[in-house]
Amino acid sequence: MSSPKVIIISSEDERFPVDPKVAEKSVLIKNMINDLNPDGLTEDFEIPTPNVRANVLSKVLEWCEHHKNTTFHEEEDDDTKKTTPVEEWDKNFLKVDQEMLYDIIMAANYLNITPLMISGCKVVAEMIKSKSPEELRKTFNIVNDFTPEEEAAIRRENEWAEDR
Amino acid sequence: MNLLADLPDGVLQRILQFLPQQALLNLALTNYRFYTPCLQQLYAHITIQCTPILRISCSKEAAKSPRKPDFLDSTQTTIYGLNHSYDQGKVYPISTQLKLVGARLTILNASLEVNPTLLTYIQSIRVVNGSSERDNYEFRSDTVVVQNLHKLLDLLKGTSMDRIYIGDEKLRNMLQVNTRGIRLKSMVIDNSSELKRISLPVEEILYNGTDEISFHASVSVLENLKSLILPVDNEAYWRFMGPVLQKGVVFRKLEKFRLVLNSNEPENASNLLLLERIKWTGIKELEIVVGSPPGYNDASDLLVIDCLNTIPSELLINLKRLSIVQKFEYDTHKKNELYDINIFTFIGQVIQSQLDQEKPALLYLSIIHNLPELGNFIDGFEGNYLRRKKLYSAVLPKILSKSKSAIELALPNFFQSLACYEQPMNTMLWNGCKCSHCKKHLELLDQYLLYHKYYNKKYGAWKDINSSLIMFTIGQALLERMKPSPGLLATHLEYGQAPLSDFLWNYHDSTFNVPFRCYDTQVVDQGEFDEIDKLDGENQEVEDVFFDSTEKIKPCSFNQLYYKNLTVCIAHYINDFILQIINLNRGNAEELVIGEELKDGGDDDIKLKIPRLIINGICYNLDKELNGTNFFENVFDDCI
Repeated sequence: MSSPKVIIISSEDERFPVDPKVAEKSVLIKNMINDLNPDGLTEDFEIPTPNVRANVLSKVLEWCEHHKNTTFHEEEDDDTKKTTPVEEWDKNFLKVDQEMLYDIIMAANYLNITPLMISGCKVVAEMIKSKSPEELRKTFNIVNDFTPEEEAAIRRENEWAEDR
Repeated sequence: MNLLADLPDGVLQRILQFLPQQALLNLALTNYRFYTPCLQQLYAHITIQCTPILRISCSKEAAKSPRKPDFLDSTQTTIYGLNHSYDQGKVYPISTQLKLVGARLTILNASLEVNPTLLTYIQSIRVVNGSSERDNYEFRSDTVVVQNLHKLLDLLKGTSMDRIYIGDEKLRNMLQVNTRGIRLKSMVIDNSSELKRISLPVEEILYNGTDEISFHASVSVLENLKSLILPVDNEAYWRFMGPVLQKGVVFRKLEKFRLVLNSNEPENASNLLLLERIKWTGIKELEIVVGSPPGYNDASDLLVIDCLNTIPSELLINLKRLSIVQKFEYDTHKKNELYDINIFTFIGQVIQSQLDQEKPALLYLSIIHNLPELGNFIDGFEGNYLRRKKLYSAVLPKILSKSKSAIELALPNFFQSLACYEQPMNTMLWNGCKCSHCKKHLELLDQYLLYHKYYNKKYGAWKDINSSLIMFTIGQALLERMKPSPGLLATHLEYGQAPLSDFLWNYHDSTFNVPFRCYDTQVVDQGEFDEIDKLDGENQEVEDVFFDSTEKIKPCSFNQLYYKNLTVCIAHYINDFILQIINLNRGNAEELVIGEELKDGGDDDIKLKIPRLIINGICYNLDKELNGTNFFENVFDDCI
């Protein structure tokens, strides 16, 4: 008899059966399994994720599968972790379009997969770095809602922090 | 979700944590959606210092690197003067930097006056002016800077903050932070009489008093402290701790602590009483100052492990950051090796305890040595040098690899410890890295040795600089990148939590303990019995001159800009050491078949558990390629 699976159901009702070890990379799912099955899983366990689309869930589970043997620190957003670069594998995994990147971050946030969310946020931060305000507006489709006077006032207000 | 602006505040805030100050400014200017969150992040943690922060090189060669750097520069918003322009051959003196720091502080204060909401964003301020007393003097003598700091503290009156840390004790006394009416969670106390000021919400005390204390502080406040940092000096430490223990204080909530072990007698009553009064399972950050005095007795090297064994390592299950500071200087390789083996044993015990409890907590380890002032081990032979390298490139990584979580490693003066072996330093200087950069600049360094001498205090004479001493001194200057604050209160627990400083040495200032002096002509080595040439420069004219020395006198060209070039040479030397750590120095690294035949440990055998390594201010990121091959990246010093 095969071991019980965790079946994660996307917003479109697509079912993703995975090993508990993979699913438990999500602290949300891990807690649900532990709370509802204190003696361990004896049969397949279904978890709906109505906020996560199938294509996004598939990506997130790919990350969980790759990292199933990685031990993450309980306090993954510790100061030490904040300054280290994104792992090469994660960086490559997150080479997706902006919409998918935000969806992965949001899904990781919802499912409480902190290491994935941090990697995603760092990748977005890398995209923001070294761009002028105009380049940022273009890259991220941001509409300028400041008047020239307001923009000048903000520049003056924070001139003390400019890199020179 | 297809727009950055649509991300919820919590997620956006996370992204902003990883942005350096200029990126926050630029994003704040794009749309009102980003204005407030960006400014909250920009004003949260402010550091004020003269030295610019270390940046990634902007050169074409650096731009070729396929990998992006880490996020060190996003940890603090730094107020400094100007970035040095190495490509234009410009470095700015401290006077220029101070003018700019003053101007920036003036603008900051004006902005805080106009928009007081910004005051509520500030969580911490650090003033870490300089590394030397001279820099500190210049900083606290700058009227504009000091007036602006006074004004900033006035504006903060009535607010609640985590901390205001001022590195220089004299500047602290001028600014009197503790009497400004700012509710701080962290307090620096320079005098025991100030202990009575401690009250809630204080969670952290950095105590710098050296006077005999009569006990003033409330027991309950001390028992509720989350962090306690006392001086490294044994007597000052126990002058505070003695009365505290007598009062019956039990540190129930302590998370961060500096433990100075009285290593003359590991099992003396005071040590044991202190160890009993700490709730070790709560400790998350620990700095241990340990070492037996050289020559204390024949078994002095055993005292280190005896001391460490008194610490209940089995209870350090939540320890995240560990720093081990060597208390006394050892002048031989042998004593240093024994010390290292002892501390490695302790580190192994901590990791094993965490494994046994299934709590992979340790994230950071710092090991700092106390090295001879002249950078020489009496037994600094090549064989011993190789043993030391192996100890740190093979033994320590193997111990760390047992941990389930990755551990960031800081070896703040490890390069200096390697510089204590003269023969390998000669090899490095005259027969080292053959890249065009090193070839050019190491040759220049050889020239430097011909025209400069150092003052030997023992012999009271100016003597030739050898390769060990020059490398040791360059290492000391590199260490200044990591030393944001002088004084007794700076721990080694914080590396990697603030940007590194772009500190430059000008090759002539007596910034460090050993004075250097420039000669116009090549002069003959002064023997140790020759005492004619004193520190004050008298009798210079009697110097013997090399027979082939040129008569034409040129002004000395060794300066801060040249020093910057040399940091790349040192980095190239350390790169070889990193290759050993990740086992890529085997020549056949890519050859699976040969690797298997030789059984030399392939990439799969090396469990890389060190994501970042900082050696003497030179920063490395370590990772695996997609194909599983280990790689490293020298973040700041691969090229200018």
